[in-house]
Parts: sequence; structure tokens; C-alpha cells
Amino acid sequence: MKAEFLRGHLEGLLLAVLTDEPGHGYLLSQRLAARSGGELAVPEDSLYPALQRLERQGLVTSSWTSADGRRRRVYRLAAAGRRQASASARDWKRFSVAVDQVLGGLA
Amino acid sequence: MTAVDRYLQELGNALCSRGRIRRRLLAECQAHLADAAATSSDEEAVSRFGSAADLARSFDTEIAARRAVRATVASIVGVVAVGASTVSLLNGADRLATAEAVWVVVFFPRRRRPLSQCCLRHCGLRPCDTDPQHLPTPRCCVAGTSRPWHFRRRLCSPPALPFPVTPLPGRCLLAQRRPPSPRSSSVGLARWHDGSNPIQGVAAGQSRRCKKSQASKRRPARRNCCQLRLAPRCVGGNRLRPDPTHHALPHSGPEPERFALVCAGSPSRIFPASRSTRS
Repeated sequence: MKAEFLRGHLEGLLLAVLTDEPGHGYLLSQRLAARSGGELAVPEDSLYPALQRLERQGLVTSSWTSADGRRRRVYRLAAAGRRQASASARDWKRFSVAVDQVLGGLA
Repeated sequence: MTAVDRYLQELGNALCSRGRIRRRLLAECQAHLADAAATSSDEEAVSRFGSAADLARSFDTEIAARRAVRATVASIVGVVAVGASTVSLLNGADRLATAEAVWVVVFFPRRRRPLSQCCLRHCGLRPCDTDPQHLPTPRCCVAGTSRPWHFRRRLCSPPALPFPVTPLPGRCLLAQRRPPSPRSSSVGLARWHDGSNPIQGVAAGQSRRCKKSQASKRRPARRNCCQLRLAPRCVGGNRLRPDPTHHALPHSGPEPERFALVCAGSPSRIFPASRSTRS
């Protein structure tokens, strides 16, 4: 899928994959690809700036953890991020229904 | 050197951010690439990661947006602090010149210099022996104090925030935002000269509001403007005459009852207005 399709939805997708459990950047991209059936491959040049943006907005928190001899920055969903994830899901449903009404008949 | 190391070096060179934020991003990318390389080769992990220049650009843009907000807040705080310290300096020089409330209006310079730099230059932190002809014309700062009996009214007035207004003399925003009062203290930037050596500094004096009948018919927007008259002063044994073209406030109105001049390296001085020093 084109990377342009992800633009504007990347924050919502990251919040969605963080609702299950915390994770570091690589794990989040893997989780996103797995849940989308391999369709959504997050470009890494957008992944880390997006995570920083979410952290600045107070939607996620992060901390360094060490596992297997490696230090990783693990991101966790904050309470505000959980509410934002729910709001993003509602917005997306409305949007997808509207787009489907326009484009669905052409498929 | 592996492909991951080369990529991290390239990313480090492309990043403009410095310090802890830079180290954090590089560490995160290193961990990400190490995880990706564990399931495939280094080259494949690097190719999937994308261009280092693009990542650095995205990250720097994000950091710049965050720092711009911080810098703006810091500038506003710095400017207000400088203005308040200038007013307190003026008031502290004379026991009679008490002010219960302080308000500060800061005007952005026309050349859009950093606010803190501009105010530091124009609020007395500049050597007096510097030739003012080579310095930008002051347009950035006007500060004022209130009289004790107008304490509540001054506090209700809103000018404790900077306004992007230039040039100062033409707008008189200071006066328009002040509550009507027959007389109040004012501080402004002004320039004096003794024929050859001009001195530029902060001046304070009593001012009145114009009556409507005194306002210019050609420029009705200047009605009720605050007027401050700067009298010639003797500084360091030299008689200085005010330069009418470089007053922060209009050069007309009543004579000031008290008067202050602040120069760098010397304490603020407030002069009682006397006939011997008036023109």
C-alpha cells in the first residue's frame, strides 16, 4: 500500500497497536504489519518522528528498558492516548463509510 | 564497519539536532536496525529503514517545531522581565518615585530582531560611549509605572503582553490602552544631543492625555494620545538637548515633574524638573 495512504493516520494506527501492550519502535512496526496482513508497512522515517510527536502531546510515555543485552525505548499508551485511540477509531469508521459510499460502487 | 554502522554514521552526520535528543534517536535507530538485522541481513535492514537524509529531515522538523514554541515563550518571558526590571530600576532610584503596580508594553522592532536581544540593547545595557548613529532606531520598548492611587485601574489594564506594533510614535498604542487619567508617569526611549554627541536612553516623566480639541485634525487616530515632553538635561556636566526626531513619545504636552535617564554602566538618575534645566 502506498505510504501516502498512511499519512494522517499514522498516529492513530500507532495508538491502536499500543492499546494491546507497550512496545518499542521495531515491535510496533512489526505489530502494525502483522495486524494489517502485511499491507501497512510503516516507513521508518515517519515512525520515530510520529512517536516523538505522540509523546510530546502526552498521548504516550516512553522509557528505556534493557532486554537481551540491548537497550530499547519502550512506548506505553497514556490515558489521554487511550481516549484519542477511541476517538480515532470512531472518526475512521465515519470516514471509511463515507469513502466506501463514493468509491465502493466502482469496485 | 557494517552497513548498520555506516547508516548510523550517515544519519548522525545528517542530523541537525544535538545533545540528548540526538543520542536518543540514534540509540533507537540502532536498536531498530539490530532487531531488523537479526531476522535478515544488515543491508536489507538498512534498505527497509529508508534514507538517512529523509529520516534526519523529518526528525529535525519535528524538533524545530517543538523548540520554536519554547523559544517564543522564553522570549516573551525575557522581554517582560527586562521591561519590569527597567521600571523597577527607575523607581528604585528615587524614594518619591514609588509605583505600586507595574505594567510593561513591549513593541517588536521593525527589523524583527530577537526580542530579548533588542530589549537588552535598548534598555540601558549598552555602553554610553557607543555612537547611537550606528545603532538601530529604538522602536521596541516602552514601559510605564502607575501612581499608587491608580493601583486597581492599572492592574485591570491589559498591556502586560508584547504587541507586534511598529513604529511606536505613530501608533501610541500605549496611551490608547491606558485608562483615562489626568496625569501619570511614563517611560520611553529618547535621544538627547549636545550638538555633536547624542545620547540614547530610557526617559521617564509625567505625561498628560491630550484633550480632543488638542488632537490633530489630520490624524484623528491620534486623539487621546499620551504626550511626554522631554526637557534638556545636564548629564556629566554637559548640557543635552532633546532630539525631537527620536522621541519614543510625541514631543509636546506639559513639562515633566520628574525625569529619569538610564545609561549603561551608571545608575538610573531621576531629575526633578527645574527652570534651570528647561528650555
